[in-house]
Amino acid sequence: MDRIPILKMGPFLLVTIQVDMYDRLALNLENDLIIMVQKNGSKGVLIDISAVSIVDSFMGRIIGNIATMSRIMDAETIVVGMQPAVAITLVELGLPLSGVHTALNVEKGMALLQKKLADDLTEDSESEAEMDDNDQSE
Amino acid sequence: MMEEVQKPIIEVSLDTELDLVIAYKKAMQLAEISGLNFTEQTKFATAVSEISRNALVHVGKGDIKFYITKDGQSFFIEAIVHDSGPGIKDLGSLLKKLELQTGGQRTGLVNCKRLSDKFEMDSSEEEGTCVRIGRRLPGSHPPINHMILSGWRKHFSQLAPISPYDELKRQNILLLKTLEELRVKKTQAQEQLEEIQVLHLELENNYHKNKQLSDDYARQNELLLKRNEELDEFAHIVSHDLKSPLNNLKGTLKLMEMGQIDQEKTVVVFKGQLQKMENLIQSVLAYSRAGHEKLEKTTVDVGELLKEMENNIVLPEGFTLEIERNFPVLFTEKIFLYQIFSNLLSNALKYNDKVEGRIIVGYEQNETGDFCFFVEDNGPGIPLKKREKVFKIFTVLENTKKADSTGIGLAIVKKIITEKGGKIWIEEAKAPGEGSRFCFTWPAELVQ
Repeated sequence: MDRIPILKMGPFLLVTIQVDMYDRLALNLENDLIIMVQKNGSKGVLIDISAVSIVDSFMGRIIGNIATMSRIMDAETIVVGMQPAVAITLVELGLPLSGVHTALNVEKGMALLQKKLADDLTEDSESEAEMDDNDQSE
Repeated sequence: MMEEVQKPIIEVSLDTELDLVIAYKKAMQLAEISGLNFTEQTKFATAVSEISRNALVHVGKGDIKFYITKDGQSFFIEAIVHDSGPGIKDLGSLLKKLELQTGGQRTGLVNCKRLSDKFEMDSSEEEGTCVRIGRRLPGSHPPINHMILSGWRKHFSQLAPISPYDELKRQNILLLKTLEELRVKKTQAQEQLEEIQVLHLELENNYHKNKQLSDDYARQNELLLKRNEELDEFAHIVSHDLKSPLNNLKGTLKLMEMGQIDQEKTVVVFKGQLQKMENLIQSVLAYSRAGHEKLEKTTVDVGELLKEMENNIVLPEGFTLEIERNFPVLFTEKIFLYQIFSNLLSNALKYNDKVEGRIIVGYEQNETGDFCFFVEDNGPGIPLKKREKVFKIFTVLENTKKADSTGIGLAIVKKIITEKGGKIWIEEAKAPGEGSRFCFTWPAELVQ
């Protein structure tokens, strides 16, 4: 059965959809991504859809599902390279892909993911520091 | 309104989800050459994807056809998805319900409606569901007329396949079509073959009938020829034999006229010759009737019949008649057998030149299973050359000429036997010394 390859790049997973998506392929991707996130403890998923010419409600739902599931697994999802026509169609369809971060291209998407990772780290260290402070004050 | 019922420009059957890809790609291609911009193309293709998926998800099978239609002043690119499912029972209320639904997950139908300038839906239990979506072409669309549309049809039919699956599908459809054509041809060939076989059978039957008829005809002809020959011979002999008493009468009359013979003697000669003629005519009649009588068949114990005959025969002194045992019981005409045996027995007695005459009557079943009877004597015997001749009418052998021989007995016997399908022939006597054995076969049913 066909599968879309998922590349591991440090703490992130990179998916480039270069083929025509059909339902089974999309469902397999969803499944594979979640397993990979869990296996690698990935912090972000970057999906490049620059070669995808149409996103209908089913595909939209799959992307939304990936984002939601990843967030539950403590990973951010960023969809990059969306064609303007696809974006317009999605809006007309009333599918805003809520919960899915987007970026214009892969570079910007990676930068966004890294920033988010850095933010998380500082947040974590700050909260740890706060906790330390609290300990000290006690 | 669709301008007229026209042939679709593209047609895609929806069997698997892979067909969705083909459907939206084709939609995209058609939208592109119809002059829609990229965004519009995407919207139309997305709408096509939505309704196609709907048909696949709810029914599992359907087809989508693409048209270019004219409505008023505008041209539309249209897609009609049809499935042969059970239909949607309350279409009106469903559409209304969908209309009111906002946000969240929408069904493909509503999405489709949002993306289209035209949306129609029909559903019935008999004909399934049919969804028509259309997108208005911009004013700057390329020229469109019948010629151009048929050119597009040709273009799309010759377009390179979108994916290996598309190519496979195309070839599969072609194969199925060829297979169907082949099947039809095969059925036709089969029908023709059957027809030919029937004709052949008829011909064969006719041939057999003809052959049988011609065989029958040949047989009858042969029989007729033989009968004719016999009749000729018969006529010749009869006239010859009848002539001799007539000549005698003539001669006697002449002598009487000349006064060389007295009246008394003349009367005696006349009586004798007339009696001879009467006997002759009676024999001729008996011969011509022989074997033709329709007699009833009865159960005949041949042994019993022979014993009866033995009792009625007065044997000359010194003569013995030996009747073997184990004669069969047959279902046949008793009179005929009686006639045959009595003729053969009387001949055996009449022509026996020995002092101690010996006659044997016997029976054996030959190799073909026929009943074969024989009457054997120790008389003078019959030379090989004359064995056929003795069965001819009015034939009496020189050395056995006797006053009471008419030469008709054996002719009658042969006639009866041949009329019944049997055979008669003469062999040397099996017992040592002179003599002959008259054998004959007699077709009949054996009574157990």
